[in-house]
Amino acid sequence: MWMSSICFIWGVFFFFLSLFMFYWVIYLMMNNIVYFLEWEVISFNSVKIEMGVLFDWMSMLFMMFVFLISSVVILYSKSYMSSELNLNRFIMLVIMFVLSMALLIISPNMISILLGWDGLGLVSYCLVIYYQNIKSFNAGMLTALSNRIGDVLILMSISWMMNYGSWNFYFYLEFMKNDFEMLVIGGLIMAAAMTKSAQIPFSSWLPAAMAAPTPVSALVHSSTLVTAGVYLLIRFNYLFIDSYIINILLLLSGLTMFMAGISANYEFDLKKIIALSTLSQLGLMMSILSMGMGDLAFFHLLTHAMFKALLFMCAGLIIHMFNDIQDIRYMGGISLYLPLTSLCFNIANMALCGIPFLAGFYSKDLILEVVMMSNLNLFVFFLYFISTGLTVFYSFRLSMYLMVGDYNLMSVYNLYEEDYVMLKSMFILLVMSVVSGGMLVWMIFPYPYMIYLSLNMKLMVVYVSLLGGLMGYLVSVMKIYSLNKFIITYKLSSFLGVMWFLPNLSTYGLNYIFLSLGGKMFKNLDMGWIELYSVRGISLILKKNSIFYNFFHMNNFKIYLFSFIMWMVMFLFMLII
Amino acid sequence: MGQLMGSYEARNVNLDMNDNPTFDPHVGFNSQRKPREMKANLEDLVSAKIPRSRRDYCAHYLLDYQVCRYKHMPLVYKCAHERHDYLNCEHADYVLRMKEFERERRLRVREQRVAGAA
Repeated sequence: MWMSSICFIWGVFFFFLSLFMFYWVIYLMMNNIVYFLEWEVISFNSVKIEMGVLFDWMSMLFMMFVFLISSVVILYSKSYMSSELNLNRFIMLVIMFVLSMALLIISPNMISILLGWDGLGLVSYCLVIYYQNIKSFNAGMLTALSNRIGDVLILMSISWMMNYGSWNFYFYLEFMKNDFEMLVIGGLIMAAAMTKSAQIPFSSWLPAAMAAPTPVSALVHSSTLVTAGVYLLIRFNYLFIDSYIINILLLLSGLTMFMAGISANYEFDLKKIIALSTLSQLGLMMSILSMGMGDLAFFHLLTHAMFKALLFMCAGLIIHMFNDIQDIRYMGGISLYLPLTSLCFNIANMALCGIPFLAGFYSKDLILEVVMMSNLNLFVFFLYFISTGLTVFYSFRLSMYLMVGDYNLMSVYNLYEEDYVMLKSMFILLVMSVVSGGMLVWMIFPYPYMIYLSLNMKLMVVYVSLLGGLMGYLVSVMKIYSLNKFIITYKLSSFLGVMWFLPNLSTYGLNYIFLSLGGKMFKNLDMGWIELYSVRGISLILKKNSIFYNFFHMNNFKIYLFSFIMWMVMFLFMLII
Repeated sequence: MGQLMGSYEARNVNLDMNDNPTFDPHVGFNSQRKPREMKANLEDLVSAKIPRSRRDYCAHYLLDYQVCRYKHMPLVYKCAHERHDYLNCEHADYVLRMKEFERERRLRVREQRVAGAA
């Protein structure tokens, strides 16, 4: 009883906190003001260490969304994790995660950003390995080590920033942007953000992190942790305007969304498909960000957080009903048995595809139209539009596998939506997935974008979406994954289906070297030479000495007697002589 | 890329979308062209914290929109008319710039043709 009430208390607390944040957003937007509070902790040798907080509409709005999603995820966990013995520990981890995220969001200072950033990495590791099996440990290690690269890059940027005498990056971005040191710092920050937001070549940890419990995936791996990188770059956006290094990010993020879109079509794990879809949308956010439009990236970040968290929560409920089976080939016809969950799932999926007038439509359509208005090259343009088509492609395929067809798991079954705790929390996000796009498009753009396109260019999004939907339908009914057809395209599908071999790059290419080096050092140094010459060697010498001294200690009387006799012998000998 | 396709022909005369006009504004016109009038004044723009990139010939509509936003926040949809007026003005401005671009392209083509004939 106490265990389940902790979920309720924290869920309601976060919900009211998000309402409070909403009030602040309106206040800050209406008055067009920013609160910047700063405390000097210590000052030495022309370097000031300060603790600062930044309350502007952007940080408050992001906090509002983070708290709202956290509250529904915690309420959802009450039922999803009901059989968990240590629910208290789980909720505490989630709360620590949310607080780390909040620290990251309101920080204008690199030191406090590092604290929030490392907190996210550490807690997300604990959450990924929560089930404590080999798969979780491997996924957790991959996640932690990939994110560790980002931590090191942030540390390096902090040490470079010491040149300026303070770590409040806000004051440097515009004035120092032509400085070489600032360029280096920008490059480091960009690479760090790429690790957190899982851009190529650091993409493989995101699908692996699906080993975490589903509520964690809904909160951490869709809406908060992975968007930390995007948010950091939005804050650093001034630095990258007219900078050539941002073109690298444009190319890599474009390739990320393309790669993730293709890989999602080869995947059969329900959670991994949604994870790859997250990766694709992160690529979209990063690429529009690298074109200098941070506000559009932020807009898509918020709308995406809503419908992706909902999608994960629906997936969690479906997995719960299917006795922890995640393979979509076993599923089918769930719209008959789980109508309300299917409703939520379909609406979230449609919002992801950008169907009017759901949340994703407002952000995605605006991004694509701005891309069409921009002075871009053909390659990036096609990456955008093919990826948009691929999003509809895998979403349709997933919906077809889940909703249409026969139930394939077992012949006798009894599925029903028993769980109204999960459904209630999902309905909150359902409402937000419908209205948040329309609400935000009015609120967060004080300076609206003018779009002027020819008819066919305007309809380009509709064309690629229709084509993607058709392909998704055909792929799901054509049995294209049958063995014969798979062998014909074996090499191609093995390349495209495993994220362009990126997991191999991250595991064998990157982590394996250090892990095997660590293993060898452990075997040869820790357990070998160092053991022999330091710990065990000293202990052996001490042991020998102790035995030697012990001999004297234990034979005190004999030694005294022997000494006395020896003294007497010598005395007599001297007398005789 | 969308607008790039429309301006693709201009590459023949080494003209990019972001280039400024190089010819005299009155070339090819029978009457004198009137310079455009900036309706919003700088004080208002600074006071409303309008960023430099948005201080264009439609900025007076943007000011109206900002005032409306302030009055109706968070129900900003009530400012649909003000927003529409601003976007209409921006659209007219964009069309004007497209025409200027085309004029620049044609004048450069003409210049090349004259130079080739000579």
